[in-house]
Amino acid sequence: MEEIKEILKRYPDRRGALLPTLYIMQREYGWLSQEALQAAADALNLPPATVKGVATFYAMYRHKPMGRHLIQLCTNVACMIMGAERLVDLLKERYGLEPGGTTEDGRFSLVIMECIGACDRAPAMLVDTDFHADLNEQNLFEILEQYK
Amino acid sequence: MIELTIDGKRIEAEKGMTILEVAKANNIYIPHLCWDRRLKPYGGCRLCLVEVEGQRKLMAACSTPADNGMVIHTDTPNLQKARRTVLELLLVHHPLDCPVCDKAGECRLQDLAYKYGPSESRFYAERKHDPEATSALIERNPNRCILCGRCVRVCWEHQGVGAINFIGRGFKTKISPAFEETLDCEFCGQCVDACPVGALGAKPYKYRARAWFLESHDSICPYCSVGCTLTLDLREGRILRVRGVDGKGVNDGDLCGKGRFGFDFIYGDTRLKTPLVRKAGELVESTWEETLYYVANRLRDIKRQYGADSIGAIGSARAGIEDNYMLKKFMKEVIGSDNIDTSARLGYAWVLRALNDTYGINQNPIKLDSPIGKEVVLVLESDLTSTHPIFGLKFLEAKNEGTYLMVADPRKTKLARRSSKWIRIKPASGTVFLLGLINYAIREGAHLREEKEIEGIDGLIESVKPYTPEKVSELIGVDTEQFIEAASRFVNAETRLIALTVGAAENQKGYETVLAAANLLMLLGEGPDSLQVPSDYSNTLGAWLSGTRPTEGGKDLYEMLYNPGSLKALYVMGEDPLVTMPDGNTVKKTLEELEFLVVQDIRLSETAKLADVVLPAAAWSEKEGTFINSQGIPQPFPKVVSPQGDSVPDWQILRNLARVMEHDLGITELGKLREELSRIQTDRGQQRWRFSPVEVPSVAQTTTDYPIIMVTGNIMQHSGALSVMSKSLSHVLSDAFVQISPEDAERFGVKDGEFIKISSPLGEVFIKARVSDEIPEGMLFVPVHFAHARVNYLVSHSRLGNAHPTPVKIESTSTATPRR
Amino acid sequence: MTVQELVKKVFFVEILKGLALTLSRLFTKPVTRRYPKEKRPAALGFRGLHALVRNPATGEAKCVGCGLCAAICPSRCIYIYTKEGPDHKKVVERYEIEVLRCVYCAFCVEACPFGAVVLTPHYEYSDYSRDNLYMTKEKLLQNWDKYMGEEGYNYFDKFWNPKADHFRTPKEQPKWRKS
Repeated sequence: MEEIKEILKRYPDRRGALLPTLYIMQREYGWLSQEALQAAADALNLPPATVKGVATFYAMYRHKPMGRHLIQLCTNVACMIMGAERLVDLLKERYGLEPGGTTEDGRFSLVIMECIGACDRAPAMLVDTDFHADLNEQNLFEILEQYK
Repeated sequence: MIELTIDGKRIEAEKGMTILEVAKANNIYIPHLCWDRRLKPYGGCRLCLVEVEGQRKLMAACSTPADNGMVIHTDTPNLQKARRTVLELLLVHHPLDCPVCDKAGECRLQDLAYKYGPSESRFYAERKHDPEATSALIERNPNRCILCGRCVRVCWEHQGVGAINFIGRGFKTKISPAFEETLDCEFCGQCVDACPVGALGAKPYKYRARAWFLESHDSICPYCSVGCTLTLDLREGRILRVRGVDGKGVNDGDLCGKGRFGFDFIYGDTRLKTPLVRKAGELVESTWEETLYYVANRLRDIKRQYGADSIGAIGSARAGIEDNYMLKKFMKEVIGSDNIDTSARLGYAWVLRALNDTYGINQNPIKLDSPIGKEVVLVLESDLTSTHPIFGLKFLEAKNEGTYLMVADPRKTKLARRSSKWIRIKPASGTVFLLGLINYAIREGAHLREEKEIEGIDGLIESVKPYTPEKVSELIGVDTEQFIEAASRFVNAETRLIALTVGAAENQKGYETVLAAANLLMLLGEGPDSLQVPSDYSNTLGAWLSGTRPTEGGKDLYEMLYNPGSLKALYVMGEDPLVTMPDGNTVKKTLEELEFLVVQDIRLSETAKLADVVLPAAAWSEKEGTFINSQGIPQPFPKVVSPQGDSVPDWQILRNLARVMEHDLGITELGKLREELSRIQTDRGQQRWRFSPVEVPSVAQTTTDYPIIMVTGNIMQHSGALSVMSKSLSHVLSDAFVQISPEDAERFGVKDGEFIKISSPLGEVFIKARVSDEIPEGMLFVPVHFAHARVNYLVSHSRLGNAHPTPVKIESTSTATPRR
Repeated sequence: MTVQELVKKVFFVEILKGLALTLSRLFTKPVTRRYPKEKRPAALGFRGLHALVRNPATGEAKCVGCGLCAAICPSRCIYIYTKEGPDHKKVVERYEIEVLRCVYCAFCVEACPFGAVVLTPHYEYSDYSRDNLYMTKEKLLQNWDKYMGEEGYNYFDKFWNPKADHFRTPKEQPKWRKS
């Protein structure tokens, strides 16, 4: 709450502070549950509909509980050419991980991204906040095994 | 001033106008779907594309400012092609269910598709198959939605609610409340009027008629005193829906829920259809002839026996001025008595009195636009967006345009939520707050700024001495710094405005509140235009101006109703004192002690159940009439439907009664009546400023027996006798309730939705509790006017017009049943 | 007066010419029909008594109550009352035609987007009471059964060519990638 008040000072109106507030809520609650959205709405004195509307517009907010680690894999043109779709299939084979889904043990969640700006080193992915590029069928799992 | 050319026409325009606005002002048609006069440009639909010479791209007229020397073409083959494509894309997902869509025939998309569009689209896509979402009054069909966002923006920008928004993005976007729940807003229905397609509709109108079967008539809203122009759509003599039409009336197309959905009170089940006469203790149906002779004989007998002064009459703030004037005339010429009054005595009369005591004027009509452009606006303990919704909207509009909106209110009203500064004062401490402001202003030397000396300044200075910021902030329950900050903003502003309501239904403000506000404004050199106090009901002001009050020393409402035995006969026209007026016990006693009670109403009200004779009157829109709104504008409304049963317009009943009593009032038809009315001179009075020290009644103290303060008032959907008859409005809210804060609920063990017993020294009532964070601790808010929960029995009244909030005690009674 | 004219007048030449025609007709087949006993079959598209088309799938009227027929009707003799049904669908409560005011222009049939109203080939419906010629929805549906029946659907498509067929939603829909 203190943090939100801090943020509020930086913006000319309350709506401006909505995106950072949602980030805070996502961090605190893990994902944007109805509860979290309501809390954001109350904190900013905005209608819940506005908050929900903004939250559902942006791809970086989660509307479902997520696994411990979030894999954001790019399948846009460059990555696709370099075989990213094969990686998606591999993830499914190995962990039973569907795009947009979570593994049964709650270890990984997979989100397909539209270009994370690393076309020169395609295919690329983000795991949580770590960036990994030049993926192939071998090193993909080597990298992922680091995340328990 | 700038000059530009549109379609070869040289046009002058103000700087800052958009191309679309310039074109509209000059009757040049540019198609548009998402643009709305009241809202900020959005540029979503891309239909208003125009060609600007020298620009490579097509420009959206709604969001491009007009500039000097622009040469604009609005209809070229190139544009037509572009618009056709835009429409094609819009129609990709729009279902072609025009034959069952209620909007067909007045649908903007349909019109445009007809004008520009090919009959076949080049694009195929899955049409949406979302289920329709119904709610109490508003029907949403997400499939038909073209995502122009007008509803979302009207709801948030204009109405300040924000109940709906775009949820999701891309093809999956839909307009919905936050969590897909059933829409539960204030049901103003502005979104319904804003929707250019059939995605939002009024539920009562759903599938009732096609647009081309309807005939439209303009009328004036019978609810609050703003006096909005309603456009009634009728089919075969029955009103099916009400619309606000852009640019019509004082409301300029805006309507609230009451106006839009409340018209169906005239079709209420409880309407009276025949005259009723009490025979052997029972009200039995009778004929007009028999009834009128009976009334005439009884009145004559009583007059002979006790004198004319023993007969009184109560006029109606909801009937036209013609009806009220006729009642006055009847009392004066036929009965010979001046005992006549209306419910204005309990509220608005005190406002006028206070204005007279300070500014020296007799009337102060409000101006709807008054908040706009002011630096600071103070709204004092008034839920203006509920009681006078369209006036309330102007405060939101002013806030959006940069006015500092200060709301001093214990309740978290819509204005409080949207305000720049919300000061949560204790219930009924508004007067003290104002006195604190006066004290602060004097300290700041505000009274020295004005050169003109105003009478009574010393008395004022003396009287506010005790109200130091420290004392006041303690009394109103806020921090001293907070109070000083607010006070300094208000006192040091260039322009300012105070708005409040004083109504018969409200018990936390009164004569002294208006007096304090007027004193404060005079001290700061502001005229009466800076004090905006609207009258309550559609014709409160009209009844007052047409003379429905004692003008020659007759008995007023207090003497008639709160003085058992003072009258022998009472003629009540369109009023339900038993439910709407404070201290119901005394009123009941008075009414029971009467020898003869005539009630003339549109329904069998609680008062009518006590009457000896009940006369059925024609309702609004079943008769012609005129309302004078709180701006002082007389607005006539037409007769559009036939009266129910044998009901007759009020003034005709009185004319007929006078004839039966062998008295010619000289009025045979409405024209004659109106001619006579137009001769009435109303005197606004000369301004003669003088300070009038305010005696503050002690803010109602809670005791250990009665630990909580009850405040009464009106709510958004209901404002009294008419609205409870409306099926639509009752669909939203049908039951009486009391709002209680979560803290108090816990303290007294009250659960949401259970019945509680509220008791004051005057009585007790069982009512449903609603736990709400709108209410601060130590306060209850109860809407009045629900006949089966007569809160007014608990409320005392004050002949001095002082605010009189009621300390009460509450008990949770999970097992108790409501008393009828 | 010329001699020729005089001769014509004296010997009734004109009259005899006419009577000759009369005489010749005595031996030819009559073109008139002996109407009540002998009926004329109506051609395809004859504009006779009104009917509401029964939807073969549901057995109810095809009409959805769009009101276009009433809008186009030059003599304003169609009345449609709709309401919200129990499943929130539009329900045609009453559909009434004042047959006596109808001018048989068949605009209603052309306007109908669903091919739900039709003028049947039936033309014998004079009556002693006006009420009997005030067609309610039930009567109009019975008219369909009586005067059109099964072959009606055939007739309909051939002659009236309902508009709804032009604006069908495409059958082939592209599939979206799931995301």
